[in-house]
Amino acid sequence: MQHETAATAAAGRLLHARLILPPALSWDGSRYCGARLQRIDTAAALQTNGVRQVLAMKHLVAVIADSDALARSTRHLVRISWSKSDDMQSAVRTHGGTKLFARGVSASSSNDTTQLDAVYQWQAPKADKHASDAATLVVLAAPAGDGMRIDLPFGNPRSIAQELSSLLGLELDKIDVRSHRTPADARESADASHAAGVVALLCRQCRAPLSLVMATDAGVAQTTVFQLRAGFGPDGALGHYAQQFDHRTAPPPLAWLLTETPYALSDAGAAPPSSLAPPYDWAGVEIAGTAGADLPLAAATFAQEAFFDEAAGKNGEDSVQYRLDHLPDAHGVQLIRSVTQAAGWLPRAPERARAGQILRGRGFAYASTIEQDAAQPVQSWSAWVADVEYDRASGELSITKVTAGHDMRPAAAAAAADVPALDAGQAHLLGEQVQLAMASTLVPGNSFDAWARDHQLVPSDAVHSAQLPAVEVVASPPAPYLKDVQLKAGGAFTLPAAAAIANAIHDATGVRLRSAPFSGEQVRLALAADEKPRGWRRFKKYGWLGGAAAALGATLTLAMPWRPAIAPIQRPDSNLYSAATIERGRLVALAGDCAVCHTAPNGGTVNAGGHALQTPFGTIYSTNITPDEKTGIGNWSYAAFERAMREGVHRDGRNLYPAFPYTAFAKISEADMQSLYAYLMAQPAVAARPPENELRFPFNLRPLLSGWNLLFHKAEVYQPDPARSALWNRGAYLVEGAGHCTACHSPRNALGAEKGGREYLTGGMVDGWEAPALTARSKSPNPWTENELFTYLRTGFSSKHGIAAGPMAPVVAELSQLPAGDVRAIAHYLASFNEAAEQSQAAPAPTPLSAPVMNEGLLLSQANGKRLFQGACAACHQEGTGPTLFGVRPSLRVNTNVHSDTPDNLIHVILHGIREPANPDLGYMPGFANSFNDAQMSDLLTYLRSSFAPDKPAWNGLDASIARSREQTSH
Amino acid sequence: MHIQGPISVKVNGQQTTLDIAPDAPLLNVLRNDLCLNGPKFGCGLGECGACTVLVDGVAARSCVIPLAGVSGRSVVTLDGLEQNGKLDPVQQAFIDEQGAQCGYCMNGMIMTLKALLLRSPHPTEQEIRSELDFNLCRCGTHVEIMRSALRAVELSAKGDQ
Repeated sequence: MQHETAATAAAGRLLHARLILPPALSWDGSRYCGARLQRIDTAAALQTNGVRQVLAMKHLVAVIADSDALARSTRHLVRISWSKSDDMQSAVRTHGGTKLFARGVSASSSNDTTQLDAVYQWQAPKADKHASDAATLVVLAAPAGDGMRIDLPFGNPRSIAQELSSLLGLELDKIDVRSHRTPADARESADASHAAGVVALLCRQCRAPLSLVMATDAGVAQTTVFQLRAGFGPDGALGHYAQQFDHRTAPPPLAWLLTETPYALSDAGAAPPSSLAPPYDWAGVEIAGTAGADLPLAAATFAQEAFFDEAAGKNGEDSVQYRLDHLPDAHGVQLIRSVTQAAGWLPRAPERARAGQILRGRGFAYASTIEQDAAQPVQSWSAWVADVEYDRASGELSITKVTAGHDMRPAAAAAAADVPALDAGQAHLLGEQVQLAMASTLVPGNSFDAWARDHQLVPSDAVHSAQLPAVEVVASPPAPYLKDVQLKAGGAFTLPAAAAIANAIHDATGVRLRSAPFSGEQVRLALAADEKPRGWRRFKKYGWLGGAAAALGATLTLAMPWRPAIAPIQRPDSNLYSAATIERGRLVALAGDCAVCHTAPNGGTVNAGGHALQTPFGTIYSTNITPDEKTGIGNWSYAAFERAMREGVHRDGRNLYPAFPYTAFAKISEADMQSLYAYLMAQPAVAARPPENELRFPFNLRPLLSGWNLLFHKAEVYQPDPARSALWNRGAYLVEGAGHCTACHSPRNALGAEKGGREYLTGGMVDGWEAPALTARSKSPNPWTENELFTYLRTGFSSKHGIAAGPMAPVVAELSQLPAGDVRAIAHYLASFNEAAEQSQAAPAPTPLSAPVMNEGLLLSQANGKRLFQGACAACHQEGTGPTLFGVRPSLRVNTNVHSDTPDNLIHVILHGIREPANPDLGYMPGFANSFNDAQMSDLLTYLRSSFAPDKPAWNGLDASIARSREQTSH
Repeated sequence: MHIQGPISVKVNGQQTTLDIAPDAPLLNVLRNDLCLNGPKFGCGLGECGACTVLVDGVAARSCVIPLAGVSGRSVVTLDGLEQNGKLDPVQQAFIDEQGAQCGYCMNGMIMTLKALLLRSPHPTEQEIRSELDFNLCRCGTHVEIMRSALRAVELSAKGDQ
């Protein structure tokens, strides 16, 4: 499949390529099972000046353009629909495998009285995710005669040329691979293979010199699955131990993987099976698995040591004592004793009540192995105590301290009695290894408040400042051997890292993580799953019966808490915040549409307030949220800001009206809230005082709001639903939190509180506009699908539904600046309320009701309306025929407003037009307030309703709605 | 979409910066500020087509587009169709076939047709009718206008060779 612009790439000129990778890459050991390309629409990308081609080869998609910046920025214009990736779990195979090692199996497992089973999974650690986001690699390829020349920053030219020769079907001497240096490690070598394969394929397709920029560490992680079973005797004695592992063959480089081209896999050396046996005195040990597999020892250690912790827990023993009791290796016992002593290990009950926001715990793990790669085989022992902290509120997992001990000596030598002290240089070396091991074991997970960074370059360092643990190294290799044995990350010293962390996490939270690497998200999801399923989506419901007066009486007696003022501060120096924090805050502000309400209409200064909000209780003017100290929020401390955002209380202690949607903003995560504060404080200060609110009695009494809050507000950060995907949770977080979609799209009760439950997102009225239902109760003739929602929210127009107008236009204008991934999440979440609709894509045409009884007046009205439509509207809204004019051509037949129960939105748009569309590409609509009289409006509306929504009943009370809309200025 | 400050537009191939209210109708700016009188004021509501110009090569009714709407875009008026002293084939066709009577709709007919030919160089008669359906002619020159349009297709095709 090849998509080309009219002009093929000019020969000789360097073109630039960027990849679009599938959302999920995976490999089950024999075939590609990530997301597959289903449809690709390149029209929008190819219309961009300077974009040459969009190449798609199976699942490998690349944009080729005249400059790298262009190729990079055009990627989001390529619309691709990817299939879901195959379920990895189904691919997990743990049965079968060759028997590799057995010891004492004659001791029959039938002696065991209890048994423990567990499945562990290990993924080869990748480089620090955030570092690799920024790390890119530039490779060049150019056609040379009938062959090709490839330039790499690093790599092994000979092996890469061989790979490419089979990929391209070219003879080896036709491929000229040059590299500046040899790869420093396996990771660099893999990066070189990824990039070389991809650039070669692209270059062959476009037959021009090509430069490709791609992220390092782009491949698929290799997975190993362990199935463990342990039996215990009547007194808790270790019985039969069986370990079966499935180590998937390493995935091929990207170009082979994505184009599903066979790749000759090299057989790497396998660890000797005896080294896979656990060090403890099990009565019988049996190990089976993929023969000849290059199983990482770290994986086996992780599974065994974490499993041993489970065994200790099951038998009600302290995990360190349990090891000491069952470890026959005196040298190992000695090391474990000295490390646990240094760490101050105290036995404690594995099951205990865990309370408080910060959960702390510690874990232990041990490994002993014979390292073969030194000149002389060396036996090494390693023991780790890790301390972790888990923050329940933020879901953040951090390692606070590591105490590690390491000892090694020639395998042949007798155990030396004393361990020499560590010198500073050695301690430092080992400390660095600890940090590296930690970074690869603990990865940042998908969080509901992670901002997609698909089109902005945010310096990655500041976003997730990895918390580096304090490291204490206890024992050390005797100095002479340090020279011989190359200390490297992933060596024997760091083997227990993952298990120690897993055990510590279990100690802290009670959650047993059996799949490495770990993230705070795994803990959060597991904890949430443990808790009773909470109706988190259902708002607190009160049997709300009485009218306003009764309710007010109740609130007055309930409580009138007095909120203190929070002392003013000097405006914080915006240099305190990193660019990344401010950028994140900008995105939060965009998602929250702050500027939409806090900017006065017709050229008001951004965020300086003064926008009038009409509510059933009177008019409220938005406030100045620029950091001006006198009229804005310049003297608000973060505490004051956060209280206002979450509880609706002004810095001076006054209650804010819930027209300010603090009920939604309360759900914003702590990190996002802080970024938002940083962003707002970094904006220019503008002195501007908004007009006083005009509220009717008793609504002008602010203290009443305390009662309102008691009834309707629960200040609680968004809690993700563990049963749903990360994308769904991200969407829910944005919709319910910063996006405050319900503020308009959920109906409100008599006191202006949003209704939840079945009324959630079923539509509401705001500023005289109807905010349509977003659920299955939508009146739209076409069901809303995720893709239509995405297009609508991103561009302001969906050909199946209509155009964003009124108060929604500025919302879309802001959403269009958010990362596409976030808008996709919102669409995904909202579409989940239309799931029935998603399934029946082709909705049957609505069957018209029996024809309305036609009277002469109605017929006349329709005829007049039709004439008016032909004269005034048809140039842009005629269906089927008519000119192509600048802007979109919205069909009224599918327009939600024509099908709605109320004519208000349609009347607003006809009278006032669309003067500020969500994006100028949509085009403009003039207002007809001065050219249609009320009778003509009524005729036109009657015609529109009867001919474009024939299955819906005629609107009543058109005259009143028209009169109301005429009084209102356009939004 | 708030656009503030001077607005930059390419008009008939020339980059122009205008410090005019962003909500001023494009038609007024073209006629009053840039003295380009090809586009005419007809209805002011985008109904008649007399004000048609090309925005990024697409027909646009300049009376209903605010200046801000063409910020950063390219606008071509009737005045800008001529290239190197040579009339555009569409203009020439309307002269050859005497397409104008009162001539008020002429700008819209020519510009809409030009946009059609840019998009689809060999339109059928049916396509031309559909395209010009909402360009109103009040003095009854429809037959001549259709003849001019068909000739314009011929001339343009020839010009391309």
